[in-house]
Order: sequence, then C-alpha cells, then structure tokens
Amino acid sequence: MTLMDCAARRDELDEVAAGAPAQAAFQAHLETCDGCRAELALARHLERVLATWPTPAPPAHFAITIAAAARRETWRQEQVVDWGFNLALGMGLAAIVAGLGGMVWMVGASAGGDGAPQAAANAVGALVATARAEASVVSTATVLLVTAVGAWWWAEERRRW
Amino acid sequence: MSDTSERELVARCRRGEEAAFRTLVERYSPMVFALAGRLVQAPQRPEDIAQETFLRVHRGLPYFRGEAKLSTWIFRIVSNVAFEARGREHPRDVSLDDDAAPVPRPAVRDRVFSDIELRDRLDKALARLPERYRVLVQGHYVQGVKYEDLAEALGIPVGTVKTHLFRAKRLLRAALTGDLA
Repeated sequence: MTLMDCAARRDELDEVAAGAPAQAAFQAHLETCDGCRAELALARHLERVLATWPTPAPPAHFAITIAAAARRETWRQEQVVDWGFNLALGMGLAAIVAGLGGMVWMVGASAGGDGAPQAAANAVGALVATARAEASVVSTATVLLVTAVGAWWWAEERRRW
Repeated sequence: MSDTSERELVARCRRGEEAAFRTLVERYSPMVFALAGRLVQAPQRPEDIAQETFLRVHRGLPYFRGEAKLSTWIFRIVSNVAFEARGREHPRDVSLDDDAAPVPRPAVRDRVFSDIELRDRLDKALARLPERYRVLVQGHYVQGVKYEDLAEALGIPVGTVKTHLFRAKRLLRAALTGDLA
C-alpha cells in the first residue's frame, strides 16, 4: 500500500464519511490500510460532531422585540427626513415672504404716496391687478402646489408603520 | 415555503405591515440563530448577531429584488454580520491548495476523541479556517440549508461548494491530528 493509493481515494473517503455507500474497491482498500481506516473513523466522528453542534434557540418574544426595534429605527429615520423637509419648507416660505416684502417695497416706492401705509396699499393694489391679469397662471401654480403637498402627505401616511 | 407565499410575505413587509415582518422573523430566526451560534464565539452573542441581521433585513427589504431566495439572502446577511462581529480577523495561514493539506501522521491516527474534546479542538480549528470555508462547513450542517443555497449565498457553483467542503474538512482533520502531535 503506497501513499499514492491513499491520496487517490481521498475524495471517496470524504464521500463515504458524509454518508455515501462505500464501493467494493474502497472497502477492500480499507481492510488493508490502517491509515485510511483511522482517517475514515475521524472523518465520521467529525461529521457527527458538526451535525450535532449545539446551537441556541431564538428566545421567546424575539420577533416582537425585533419588530419593535425596527419600528424605532424607522421612526428615527423618518424624524430626520421630516426635520429636513420642515427646514426646507421653512426656508422656502421665508424666501417667499422676503420676496413678496421686497416686491411690495419696490412697487410702493415707485408708486409714491404719503408714507409707508399708503405705499403698501398701492403695492398690494398693483399686485392684485397683476394677479388678476394672470389669473390662469396663478391658479395653475396654486393647484400644482396643493397637489405636490397633498402627494407628499399621502406618501408619508402610506410609509408610516 | 413556496415562492408565492415568500413573495407575498416580502410584499406585505414592504407595505409596512408589522405583523408580516414578525412572521418573517419567526420563520427565519431558527436558521439565523443556528448559523450565528456556529459562526461566533464568546464574547459575541448569537442573539446580538441575529438582531443585527434582522434589522439589516428590515432595512434591505425595499431593495430585495427576489432574484435569490429570501432564505439565501438572509443567510448571506447573517454570515456577513457574524464576520464583522469577529472583527474581520485574518485567519492564520492555512493553505487552500488541496495537495498541500497535510496528511495526518500515523502515530496520532488512532487517538480517540470524545465528542466534547473534539468539539473544543474543532472550535479552535474552525477559527483558523478562511471565512468562506468556515461558512461552508457550518452552513452545510444548519438544518434546511442545501448545497444550492450555499452556492447562491457565496456566489460559487454547486460543484465548487462540494469541493471546498471536502477541502475544508480535510484541513480540519489535519488541524485536529496536528494538534495532538
């Protein structure tokens, strides 16, 4: 028996150890080879120990605990998104207010009049007249804005657990 | 679990149904705990690995395209989490070359191990195996995991799974008998 014979039978030894039936030639080899016999015994022992490796069972209420943790995580992520959205919305509104204020001031200043209240009244009157002339554009913009905010609100509600 | 019910479960989870996610956790936690228990050693706790695994599953569900089985995808996640938890330590130099695997010496071949002794030595020998071999060996013995699942999870052909498994077990045998020399 040479080491070459044993090496050539290593695949078969592994398969037999894993539960495959031993062929007659391999069986005959085992009867004459102490080394392969011992290795097969160790391989089978290894298979048994690996198959019966102690593993923990999930604790009771594990699924509930995980679902709660996932909900908290989702809530935290939504908080960040909401905070960012609110910040952007606030900045947008501030820009609109600042822009309107600027327009009022500019139109009022160019229209002249006695004092700030009169200038503001002139400016608002001029803005209303402009908006009336562009009624279709203003109403379309309003519908688009309301639709966008509504869609965002609907998506938020659907996403919520 | 059939493909249809798996897809339905995933769809319900995506819609944000907490009950569906709880069902998913209940269904796959035995597999996750079994694999985590086999892949991590103290002080890491299988429960922590399982928790992180399911949180990643929850985060990843919107992106899960269903190309692989859900169990295969979860198997891959738990393997990654377990190895990250181990600190991605580099295994000691163990040759992956089949021919280079040392043959046990005849003098130590007749030693009889008890199961507990063998498990203790095996634990150390497994820690020295390359990650992929360790996942293969331990994943193979988790109930319900098939060669095809291992192949899909590791991105290798089924034939390679079998070859690598045999090589890994030979390395383990060599390490066990070498320990006693």
